[in-house]
Amino acid sequence: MDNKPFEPGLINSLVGQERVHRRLFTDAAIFELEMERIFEKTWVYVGHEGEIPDPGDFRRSKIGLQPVIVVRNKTGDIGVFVNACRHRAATVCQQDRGNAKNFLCAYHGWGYDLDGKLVTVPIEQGQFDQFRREDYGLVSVARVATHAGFIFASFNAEVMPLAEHLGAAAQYLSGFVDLSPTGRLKMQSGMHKYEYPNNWKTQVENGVDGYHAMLTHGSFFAAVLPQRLGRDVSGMLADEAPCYSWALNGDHGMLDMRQTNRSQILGAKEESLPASSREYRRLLLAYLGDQQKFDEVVSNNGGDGYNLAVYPNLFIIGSQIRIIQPVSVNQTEVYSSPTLLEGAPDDYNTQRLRSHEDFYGPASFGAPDDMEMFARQAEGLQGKANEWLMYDRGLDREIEHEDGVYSRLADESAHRALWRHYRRLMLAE
Amino acid sequence: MTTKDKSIDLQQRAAAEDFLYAEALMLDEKRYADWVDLFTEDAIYWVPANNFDNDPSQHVSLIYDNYSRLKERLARMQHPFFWSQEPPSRTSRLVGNVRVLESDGEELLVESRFQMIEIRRRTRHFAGTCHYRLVSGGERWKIRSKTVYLVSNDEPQMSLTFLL
Repeated sequence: MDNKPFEPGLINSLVGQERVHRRLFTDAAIFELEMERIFEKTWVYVGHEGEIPDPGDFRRSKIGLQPVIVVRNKTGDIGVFVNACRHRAATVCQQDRGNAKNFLCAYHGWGYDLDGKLVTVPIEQGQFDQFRREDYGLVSVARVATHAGFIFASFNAEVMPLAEHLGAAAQYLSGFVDLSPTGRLKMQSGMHKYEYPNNWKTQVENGVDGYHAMLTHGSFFAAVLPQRLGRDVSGMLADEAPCYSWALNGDHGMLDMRQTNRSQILGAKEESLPASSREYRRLLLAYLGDQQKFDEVVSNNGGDGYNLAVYPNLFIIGSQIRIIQPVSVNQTEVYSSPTLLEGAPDDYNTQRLRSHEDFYGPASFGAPDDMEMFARQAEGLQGKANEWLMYDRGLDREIEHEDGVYSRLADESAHRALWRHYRRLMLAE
Repeated sequence: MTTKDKSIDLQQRAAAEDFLYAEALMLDEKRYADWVDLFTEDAIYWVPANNFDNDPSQHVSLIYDNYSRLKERLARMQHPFFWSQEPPSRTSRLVGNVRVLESDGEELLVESRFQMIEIRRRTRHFAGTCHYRLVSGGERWKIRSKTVYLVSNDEPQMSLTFLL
């Protein structure tokens, strides 16, 4: 049985430096412990300010399995509340996104304002005589903090400061937003929603995995991309390619493709670019104010960029912000929201959407093959006699850097950082 | 412009139905190259995401293919490393409620409903409305646009790598 009572200390023996036991993907007791020790203890990404620009704007989200509302109040501050009425726990918000003056529980009529305060109680004289409305506001998370508009929340009042949690990943969250010629993202363009029948951690490690692309995405790299670009692309994913698997300080992961096509991006001839790209570059340069900063932003983030994993549930990939949402030990949802750049030409933003759809989404040319691998892993993970999953690639060729360590594209330094993060949180008392 | 003559209406609808049934059969039988051949070179194949009335230039879609991307989709489907369809989905679809919404002799706007079952690891049901712009010319009609309004387009999905 995979579901027998579980000693947290056992994690020690199941997560090694270069291998991880299959039970971490199949054991329901471990999944429950992950919800408590990871999702309810650390910072969890719950939304971006670009999704709730105005007072009263809200989005629903989850911290682990707990439903929350992320809402901007009348003075512009962001609150994060459990989406459950204090009377009998029915949800008070039914829409994924919207604008509200208050949140009404439709069961008995308790109503809450944008600060979560209980403001209406029908037939209030029936409550017992010690009942005071101020004791029954929506339950708030313990901490809310933002970085570059990314909103994080934690149920843990003792959680480390957000900047410390983000570590070397913080600069890449900023870099993603720096591409906007107003410094702000527009997030009104909907999202792709996936589901797959396996554990949440399979998608987390896949998002920074450079080893799988050549084969898992083989149909794209063989039958689509070379024909589209009119050139051979096999070097892109070769061991010598200037792409790196990063273990960032703070134990976050990154697949770094910034050096790919960097010279073409920086040296792009103006006349070879579409009008909307020329206009976008002009606007961004004007906003950033100097050429050096412009070159830095565009060459770091404007092309192949990076896949960034901010543990446990946030990814930046291409133009998208992605949330990994655990459902159960063997079921996961993924929400992928392409962002637009506020102030950029409409055609430029439309092209961002089309580029996103190229590889991401349930009907795209990339992500479905990843989902297929997760489903195949789910089946294979039932093979109990095959106990260990391997994460050793690049162990002998990691290079130290002030931001962490890195190795080659098809290595697993990023994976190891994520497992270190896992181990640290799961073993903390 | 809407046609007035009832017998022309019925003829048109019958012809549109024949066309849609033949298309549905092609898709269930996975004759994808034949299917792509049904489209004009200025065609758009669109499957909106999240809701039905959004603007594809401002809102993400499940699929927004022009003809060259439709050809790429076909090339990927024909490649041996098309893992999400190894083994392939088995599908069966029923097309009905066919209506000719507009007609001007050269071009028809046709609406239909579909229900389909897909079997691959699990059984999934899909349903929705399709809008077709069909243009005459040559031996048979061509599809200038096909839009698939999936009723489940705001739900989390597993792969949609068979064709709708």
